[in-house]
Amino acid sequence: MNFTRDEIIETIRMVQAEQLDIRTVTLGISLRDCASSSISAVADKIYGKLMDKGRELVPVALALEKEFGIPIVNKRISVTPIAMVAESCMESNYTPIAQAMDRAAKDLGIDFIGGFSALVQKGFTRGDMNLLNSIPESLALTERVCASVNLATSKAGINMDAVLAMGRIIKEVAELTGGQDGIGAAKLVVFANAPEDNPFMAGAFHGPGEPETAVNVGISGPGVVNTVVSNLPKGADLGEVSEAIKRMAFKITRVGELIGREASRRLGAPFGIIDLSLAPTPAVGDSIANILEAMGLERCGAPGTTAALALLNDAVKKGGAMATSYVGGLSGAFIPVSEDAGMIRAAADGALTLEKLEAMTCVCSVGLDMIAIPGDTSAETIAAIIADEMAIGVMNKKTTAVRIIPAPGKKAGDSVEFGGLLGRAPVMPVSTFDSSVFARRGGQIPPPIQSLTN
Amino acid sequence: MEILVTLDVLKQYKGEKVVKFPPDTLVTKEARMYAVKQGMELYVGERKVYDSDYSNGISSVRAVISVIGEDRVGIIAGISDVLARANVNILDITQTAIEGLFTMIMVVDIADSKISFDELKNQLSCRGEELSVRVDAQREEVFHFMHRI
Repeated sequence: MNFTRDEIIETIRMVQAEQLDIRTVTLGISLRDCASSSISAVADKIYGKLMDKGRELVPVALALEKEFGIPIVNKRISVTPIAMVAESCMESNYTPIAQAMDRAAKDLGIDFIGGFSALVQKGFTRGDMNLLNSIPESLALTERVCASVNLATSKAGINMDAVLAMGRIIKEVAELTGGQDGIGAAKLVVFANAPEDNPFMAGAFHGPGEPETAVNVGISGPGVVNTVVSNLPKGADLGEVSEAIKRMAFKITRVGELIGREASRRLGAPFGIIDLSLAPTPAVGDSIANILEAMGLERCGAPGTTAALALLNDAVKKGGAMATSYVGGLSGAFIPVSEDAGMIRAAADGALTLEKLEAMTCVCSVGLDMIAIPGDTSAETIAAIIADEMAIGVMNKKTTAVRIIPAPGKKAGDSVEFGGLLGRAPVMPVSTFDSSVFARRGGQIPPPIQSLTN
Repeated sequence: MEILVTLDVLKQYKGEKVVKFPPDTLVTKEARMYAVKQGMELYVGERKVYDSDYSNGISSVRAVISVIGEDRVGIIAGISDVLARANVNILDITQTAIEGLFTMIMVVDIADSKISFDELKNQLSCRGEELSVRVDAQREEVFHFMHRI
């Protein structure tokens, strides 16, 4: 036999007991050839192209799942930022395009479609403005469409006009979907340094530099890493912890590499990237917080959490980088509060605060993610929170993001329920000191000196 | 003459079996994958264009079957019976029963299987249910990718 019994048992245990899975196979599709002067023509072209290119995605993913015995949790599509595709339309409301995307997603049986997006780090075009204005209605009227806006890059700095606009838009989206605790805001993310090949939602879009189609794979497996860390002897030092995580990250990533190559071959679309990520789910044990706690913290959020997360994130990258030929996307441990049972517990216990989460985003992907805040938080305060997070990304040349949900009618200490992978979240308190004068100044925060690399 | 042959260029040749381009033409990855799917042969000058191999050179004719459950008489017989009927050859088999927990791992050749892999999996798990054991079948590449560099 080519493999030992223990190796085979290990793989089976990882899948059956420790929730090892492929988090997502995301097919990127370019819509750059779908432009037209009428919105209905654009919507029709987009629907037609998605149905044509995406037809095989779900059947192929289901077949791979069966043959290789590795669950593929999500099948998704990312498209060219719609602001670019729809720019030449005479109409200014892009909601019909979101509806066409939603219809295609449902007809194809995919979970989410990303790319209702605009890149505005240095300013707005007409298409960008129209898209931003269309976000609230579009997210309220659709189920599976995800929107993202890139507000800053290390090369361009931070577009503070867009930051304030997004503060208002996030509030509006949450209010329009108030009946479901503001779930619309869970499908909207703002970025600094957004990657063009990210397979994860809500931020996935198919960047303008990408080919016609590409298969991008997001891996997962916090449960597997948690088991490895928990099984280490109590006296193991942090170098040994890192080593153990690295080994496991290699194995997890190899599975993604295999599925990615095979999916690419069967779909006839080039293999894009593997996103070296640890993405939690609300399932018990499938939690990033639990890994940090297994390293010796009483609760996630306790002093030491940032260092533990930095170690984890770095070890995952080092182990994963060798296992795949192309690394891309967000690549790092995710810390979405509502999607991680350990984070939820830590937040409910008061161990984990917004400020600690902000510090944690300096050393991992991606940012303030899936955090519910009181519904009466002002747009200016939300904008200031976004600005802080953008600054971390811009100055450190990394991707950061904000996906917060100002839950309508909820106060700190309440709880919101989104269901499914989005999970539930305790409403976290936000500083009540006022930042509105700063947020309203607008303009562009210039890029840092370290961006002058040429 | 096309300097760069992209997917769109190649689509114009749809239906043709052999397509020739002048020497020094570059064919994009997408175009090469399209050609493989359509069964086209591409030539650049005299040189045939191949698509890169995806699988690390592993053939995909082997599968690993694992059986875990309570030990009892007839587990191996039951599972082998399903395999024999499907014309699946057993290449290797290892089993242990420690404190009543039975684990068996088989490596099998599915190249000449009479039924699809999906159907084989179904039949195995049905038989597993009759024997009160859990049976899984996975293609061998998973283990190769995970445990071998």
